[in-house]
Amino acid sequence: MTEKIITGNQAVAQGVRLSRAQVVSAYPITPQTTVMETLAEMWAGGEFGGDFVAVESEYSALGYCVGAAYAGARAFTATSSHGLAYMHELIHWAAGARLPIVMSNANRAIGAPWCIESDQTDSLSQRDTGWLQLYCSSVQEILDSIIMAFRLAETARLPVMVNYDGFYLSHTYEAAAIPEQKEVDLFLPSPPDRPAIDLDAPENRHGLVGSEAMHRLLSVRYQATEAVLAIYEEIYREFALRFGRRWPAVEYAGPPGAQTVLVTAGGMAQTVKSFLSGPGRGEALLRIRLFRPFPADGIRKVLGAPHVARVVVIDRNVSMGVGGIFAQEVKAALQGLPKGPQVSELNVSGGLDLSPDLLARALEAQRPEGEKINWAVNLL
Amino acid sequence: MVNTNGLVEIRLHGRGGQGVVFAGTAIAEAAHREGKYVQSFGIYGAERRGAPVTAFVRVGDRPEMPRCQIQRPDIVVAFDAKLPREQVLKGLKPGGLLLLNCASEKDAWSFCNGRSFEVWRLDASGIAARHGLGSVGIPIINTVMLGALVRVSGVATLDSLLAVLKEKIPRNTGQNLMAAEAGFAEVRELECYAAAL
Repeated sequence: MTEKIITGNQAVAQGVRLSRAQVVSAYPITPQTTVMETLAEMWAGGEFGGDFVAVESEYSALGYCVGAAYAGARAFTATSSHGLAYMHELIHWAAGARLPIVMSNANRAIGAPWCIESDQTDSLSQRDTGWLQLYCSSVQEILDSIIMAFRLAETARLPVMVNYDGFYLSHTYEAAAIPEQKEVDLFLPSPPDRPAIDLDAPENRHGLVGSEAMHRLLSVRYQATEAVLAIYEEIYREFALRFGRRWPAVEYAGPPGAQTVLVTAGGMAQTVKSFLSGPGRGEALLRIRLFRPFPADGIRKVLGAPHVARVVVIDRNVSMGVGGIFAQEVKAALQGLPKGPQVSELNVSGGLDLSPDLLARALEAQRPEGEKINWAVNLL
Repeated sequence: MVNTNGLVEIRLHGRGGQGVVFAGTAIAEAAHREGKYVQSFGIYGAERRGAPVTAFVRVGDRPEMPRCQIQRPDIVVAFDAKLPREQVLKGLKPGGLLLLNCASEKDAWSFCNGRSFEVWRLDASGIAARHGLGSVGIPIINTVMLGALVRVSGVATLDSLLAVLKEKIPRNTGQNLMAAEAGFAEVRELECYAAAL
């Protein structure tokens, strides 16, 4: 193990190298570009042994990974925002075909207008494609998540998207422990090296089916996705034993009897955590790391406790006509509790900076009559 | 220069092409070598030479640090006294510290008129030019500023900084190391009597 000061994007590349991905294909986009630049440097320097395939668009990048994964290769792509949106058709396909592809996504706002600030609406608008989704809060967590994602993808036979805030994490330098290859090999065994096409047993996969077969496949995939909650639990515990770092599906930090709990995902959790460790605060933080499948039971257990009176969900994303997307999922998870907490929303979509001052103001501010969302712009 | 919760927050202001983000990372690495927790990042729109760039550095005793821009810095570093003054000085804590690259003491004084913080000045452009860094008229000053910054902030020693620079700078390494040492040696606190000049 060596400790290095690296960015979130470099952490992705380190994770891909250590996972011995066999095929990497991507197209540059801000703020993801340095993921591919770092992998290209590693490839040129002989550190990364997989195929590095430059393509002309994100659609082709994921298409290449789909082909590679069909042939049994461990495949990876990286993107952000408009690039992710451009992949959309194949994002569905990869999940339907049960291909264990791993993709990293640096969360960035989607136009119009053009904007490169951090916003989670890009990946959250792929919510219903069937990909498993993780949201990271530190550079170390990004590196570890890539390695865990391959293990998770190959165990569940489902693709995994590893998300992290553009700039706030993609371009932030901080210390990260880079594990030794042999340690990673024990956690994530090398993929089998087999020929792409078996000429003696040719196959045609995923041709046309009727409604009953389609319905059956969807129900089977639903069960496989639900089973991920237990698989994830096992994988994160094994990872913690081997590497000493714990990345549970939901993370609770703060006093055990806190009456107010702030809920968020991604890098903002660290701002909240640091804010709450200051003098005179009594609130707690609940960070949602696993978004699909949604760990509703884990969240109910924390937020449904009798002492929790108030929940504030901080969303850096928005679903027009509904509100923050994590907030909606949290409210659904709390549905049916006899005496659930009051849930309010703080929205910082568009990449607004969540500062300790803004947090303090948001916690004190009374919501304007008739408004269900506290828009951060009104607190600046 | 440490605030109550053991965290020092530094904001660097410069222009695209001056190596501001590199400087933020180098100071963070130097502090990390001494066992401190660090975080460093920059903000910029589309990357353009000459456009204002801001970088943020946090150095602390504990891993918990906010992950947001620094709006109330303990230390501000200005690579250029022609940067928008209000933006550069915004939120600088009373009792905080400004490190300014400025050839004239008089200009430095007018830049931070009405101050409630310490001001340290050096002619980083002159020092860089003397060490042959950058091209004629466009000196590259980031290593000079780094030398001065370790001295005034105390977040890392000069030795740690020089070790980091040796590792990270592949070309003109010798000149850059000497320039950092010169920045360390030549930075001076702006004295009150300068106002009378």
